Amino acid sequence: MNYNITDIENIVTWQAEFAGQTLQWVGEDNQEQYEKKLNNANTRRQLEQSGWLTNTLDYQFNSHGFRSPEFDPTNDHFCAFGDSVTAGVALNYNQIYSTIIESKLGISCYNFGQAGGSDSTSVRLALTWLPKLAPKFVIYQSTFKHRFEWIEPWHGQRNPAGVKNPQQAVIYGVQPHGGGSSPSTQSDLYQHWINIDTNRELLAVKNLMTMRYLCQEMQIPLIEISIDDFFSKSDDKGRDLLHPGPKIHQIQAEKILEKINGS
Amino acid sequence: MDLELVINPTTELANKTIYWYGNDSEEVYNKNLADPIQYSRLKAGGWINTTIEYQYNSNGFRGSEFDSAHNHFCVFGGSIVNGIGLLYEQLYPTIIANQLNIQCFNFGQPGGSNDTAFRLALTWIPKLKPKFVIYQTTFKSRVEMIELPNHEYQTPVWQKKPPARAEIYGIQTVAPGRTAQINRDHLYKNWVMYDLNQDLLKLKNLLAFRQLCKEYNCQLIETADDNFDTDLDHMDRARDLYHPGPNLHRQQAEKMLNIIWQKS
Repeated sequence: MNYNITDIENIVTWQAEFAGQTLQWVGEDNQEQYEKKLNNANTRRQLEQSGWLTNTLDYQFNSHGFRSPEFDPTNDHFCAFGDSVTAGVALNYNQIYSTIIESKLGISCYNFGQAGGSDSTSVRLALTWLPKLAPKFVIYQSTFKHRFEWIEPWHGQRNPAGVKNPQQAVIYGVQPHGGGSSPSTQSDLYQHWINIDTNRELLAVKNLMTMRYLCQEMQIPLIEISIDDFFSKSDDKGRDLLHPGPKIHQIQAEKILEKINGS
Repeated sequence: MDLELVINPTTELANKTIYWYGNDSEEVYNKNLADPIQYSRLKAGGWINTTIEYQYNSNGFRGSEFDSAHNHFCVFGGSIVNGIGLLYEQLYPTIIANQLNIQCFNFGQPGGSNDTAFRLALTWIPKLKPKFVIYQTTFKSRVEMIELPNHEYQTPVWQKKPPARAEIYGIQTVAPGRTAQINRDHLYKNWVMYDLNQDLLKLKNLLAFRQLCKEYNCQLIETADDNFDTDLDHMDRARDLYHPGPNLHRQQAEKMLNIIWQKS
């Protein structure tokens, strides 16, 4: 299947700079914020309760800059698209809902989660990768509707490995607490756009319909979940005390597995 | 989503009949009359002293009232579908409707974008459930954003909530005013410079349109502005001497009818 978007593979997000690397901190889960939280009695208690005083994290990125095993279409696999929740920011890799599903089903999960990503990012990645990988099924985790992605010149100091003419996917509408994501929200046009619910709703519907169409055309079952599914009143948090914690991921993994087994 | 509350470029014309619109203005027409080359084009097209009625229904679209009880199809697109500079019966959707003896509900918006067409489809296809749908894509450099209405806008009595206006970025214009002003926005200029933004948006509108039609069991027929020969030297022009003329619409109607017959 060819949708004739020239150079779509050259679009990269900020995670591309980490291709092939293993990091201990990423984005909002950064050392500076963590140490601040250690020095505050309330947040220290929260870290302790969630087991984050002793735990260390590894963020291992594949050669395309995703927190995922290398992509190999010949392996039995499924794909997960979403934002930092799917990327598992502030969690160990084996605590992410998609990795739990991977272990239960015994097939690989190719994780396209993008920290600070938008629904448009997920759909672009699906357009790029689904025709190449043809997974067994797809999980699409939609995110905040006020985020949108536009393509701009590459901002990085050096080209990401393997990308000759990189173009940067900039996400408008990310609210960074501790650095990492794009802060491009000051434009008049963006401010105009975000003020009207209809713009956000229309973009979300357009992305969802595109994802559905793409999966139906390729006869790939699609499981739709939302960021709202992960934000309950639970105290269960990731190491950054912002993202959902391992228990919430476990619960969501079980719900998704029920859907998979029921279909 | 209160999509029906969004003001389209032609919403303000609801229930009105006008004789000039957009590029097809009296001023441009008189200028063309005074220019010998343009005059010969107007004459060749049969446009000297021809009256064009732009008749808008109560929802502000050119053509008949929408009634899902009638056997009908819907057409979405920009000014070509709307038929700027043409009599209503000369438009290719009207020719198709007459040939098939069913009604055509025409959602063409002058200066519209592919976003506009998708939004209108999302608003109206679930309500009307047409027999089939024609989607004519337009310039990919155009982007629609919903904004607050201009102060001059009078809220129609049928709108209970404050309306929002569909503003299209990327319409090429040499005239000063709002259209030129919004195109200068830094974010838009940044966006339009990269083909990938335009290509991705066009593709997403198309795929989402296809999915919408699938979910409502409507057959979708896709066409594009590019399918019309818009070479300005071509003599078959609408009255504004800019948009495609009646022969091009007739040719397009024949092509589309062949597709419809093949699919049915």
